[in-house]
Amino acid sequence: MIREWCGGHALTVIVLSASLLSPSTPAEAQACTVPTVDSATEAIQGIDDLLLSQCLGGANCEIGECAVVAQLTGAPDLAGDQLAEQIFIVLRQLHAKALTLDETQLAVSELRGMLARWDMPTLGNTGEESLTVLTDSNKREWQGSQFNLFLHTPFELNLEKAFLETHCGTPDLCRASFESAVAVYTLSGLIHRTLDVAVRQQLEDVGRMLKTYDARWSNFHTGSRAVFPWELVFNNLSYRGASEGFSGPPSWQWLVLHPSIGLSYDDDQDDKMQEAILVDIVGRYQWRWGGKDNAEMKRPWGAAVAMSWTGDDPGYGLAVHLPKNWSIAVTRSSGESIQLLFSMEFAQFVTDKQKNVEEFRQQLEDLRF
Amino acid sequence: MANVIFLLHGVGEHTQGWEQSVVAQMRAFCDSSSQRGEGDFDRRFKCVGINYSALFKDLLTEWATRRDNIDDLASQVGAELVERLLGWIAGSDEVEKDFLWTHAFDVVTYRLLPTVRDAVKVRVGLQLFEGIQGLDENANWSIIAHSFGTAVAHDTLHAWFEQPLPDGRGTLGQSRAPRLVQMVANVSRLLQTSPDAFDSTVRPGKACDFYHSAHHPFDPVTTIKPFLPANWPGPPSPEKYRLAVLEHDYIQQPNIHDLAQYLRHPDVVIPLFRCLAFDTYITKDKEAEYREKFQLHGDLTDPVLIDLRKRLEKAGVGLSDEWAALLVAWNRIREIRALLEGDNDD
Repeated sequence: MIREWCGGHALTVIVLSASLLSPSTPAEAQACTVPTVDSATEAIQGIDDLLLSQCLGGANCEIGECAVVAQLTGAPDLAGDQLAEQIFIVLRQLHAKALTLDETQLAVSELRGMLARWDMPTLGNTGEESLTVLTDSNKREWQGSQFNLFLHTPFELNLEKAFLETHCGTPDLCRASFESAVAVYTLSGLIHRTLDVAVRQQLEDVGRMLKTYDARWSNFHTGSRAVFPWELVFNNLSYRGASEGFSGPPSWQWLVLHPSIGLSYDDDQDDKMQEAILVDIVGRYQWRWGGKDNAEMKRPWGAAVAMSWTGDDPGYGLAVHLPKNWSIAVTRSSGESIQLLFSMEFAQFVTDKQKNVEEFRQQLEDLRF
Repeated sequence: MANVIFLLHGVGEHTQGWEQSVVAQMRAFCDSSSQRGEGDFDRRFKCVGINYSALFKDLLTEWATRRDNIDDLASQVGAELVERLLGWIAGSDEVEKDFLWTHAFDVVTYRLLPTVRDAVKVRVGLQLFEGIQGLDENANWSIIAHSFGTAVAHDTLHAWFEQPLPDGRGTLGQSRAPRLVQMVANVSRLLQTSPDAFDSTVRPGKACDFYHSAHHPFDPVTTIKPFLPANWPGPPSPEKYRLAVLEHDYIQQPNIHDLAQYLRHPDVVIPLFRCLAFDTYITKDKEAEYREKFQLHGDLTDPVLIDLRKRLEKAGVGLSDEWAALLVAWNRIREIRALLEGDNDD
């Protein structure tokens, strides 16, 4: 059985401080003062002002239950059973508060209808189990949205319409309806905020995931090797995104007709390093995600069937792609000559192509091939 | 934090702050037509321009840079195959000027290449996520999407709604969803993949609370596959969907596809702000006043209007160059795909 509603040590977890129960500043207190209304127009403006001032279960809300929820939402990161337990204690308190409202007043029966769906005393044997039931439901149903409460449920209510149609027939009725609407909206908002604590960490994880995916996609499309349009099309043929939700990129690519600038070593020439074009006819390139935001390409390598041009007949052979955008290829032309090629990816050449090619050539020659 | 309105742009490159002119127009409308008067717009709303065009630009720039770097050498060493391949890529000068690359490219690659589509969805999803951080319990968020942006908004929201939370308890959409999705010049069906726009979760009661769409019968971009459902979204929320079909004769400027023109129309802007705020935010008197002042043809003189109307009646002749370019780009991508798949008949 679930713990008793207000019994046991669990209640001590939520300690209401005096400072939270009282208005923190005169300005905020004024902002959240519930006005006296006599007409539908005043009631509508009153709700609108309270919403804009974040008073109906929002950050500036001041009733006792608001303080409890504020304490929960401001609590350091909790997890598992401890988190579930605290959330459930607050939910019970809000549930108890809802039971004190007059059911004949505006929106109260709808609030009770929403709560009845939970059947709280028999919801689950543990706080965690109960919380699973609660959070598996659509939490947004509890969040007021402008003048709409309990949207997309059988208890859906439009407060503006209610004020205009039936609940502001007389000033007294209007006043009572307005106060009831404020109480229900506030409780509904607080329940939503409480349920939201259960997924707060999860949502932060989703945010981090999106950031990682975004950086990875940028690298996949513009920072990797196979980025030419025909390679993009080819890689799309084998790409399968997530079956639901957002997708990140794969950690590998097909290389298809991928050209790069290289240098070929030719012992017969005075200038032993000749500029060459190396083309990966077909190959594979892969890496591991790591580094900042887990979105940098780490330990990339690949291999491809390759062809090369140095001004004579094209040669055919194999290319191996190594970290730091280095590639080595061995090709053989129809004239039977074997060529050794070194290549670096274009990003290295962008700023000053000629200078970089020369430096690259010098580096290789210094290796005394 | 106030209620957040995200604006999603259409095709083409958009710089930071692209949304400011549209925001100014909406602010002016609220200042003059809302019952809460001048200054209320900024008290009530925070507008955030979503920008995903950089993703397409980065792709094109990368290709152009690589082409520029290799083209000369390929020619020098007689690598004809490489030269032919590089001929597919826009050079740096074309990326900036040619409509094919500045506009059509976005749409074609988005529709045909899933990696590009998924990258765009993530880019937009991330901006939405960051934009609603710190949103108060009493505040909400909405989206106004235009043209190509309607397809992007649709696809992103569908992924958003279905994104499982890491511990498997529910989805992102069950915790966070927009109040209103306002589609303007809705092409979500034109660029739909799976599921299609009528069957997806982007509907009232799922990925959003309310769904508005605005359609101009002469707008050539939306007439190919218009979003004009007969029985959508169906029970239980039919009243949460609103379609504004504008008059054939609503022509205030040559580009009738323009977001600002759509948002000037009373059938669009009044329901928009009634949903973003509340029903009597624009009172019946204020509505009557706005409709009285509203001019179907704006400042256009009769001869200009007659000429424009003739061109539009010829099924979007005014945009013929753009559509021709779109077709070329579309066919080019299809050719490459067919070639790689070994299907020469496609």
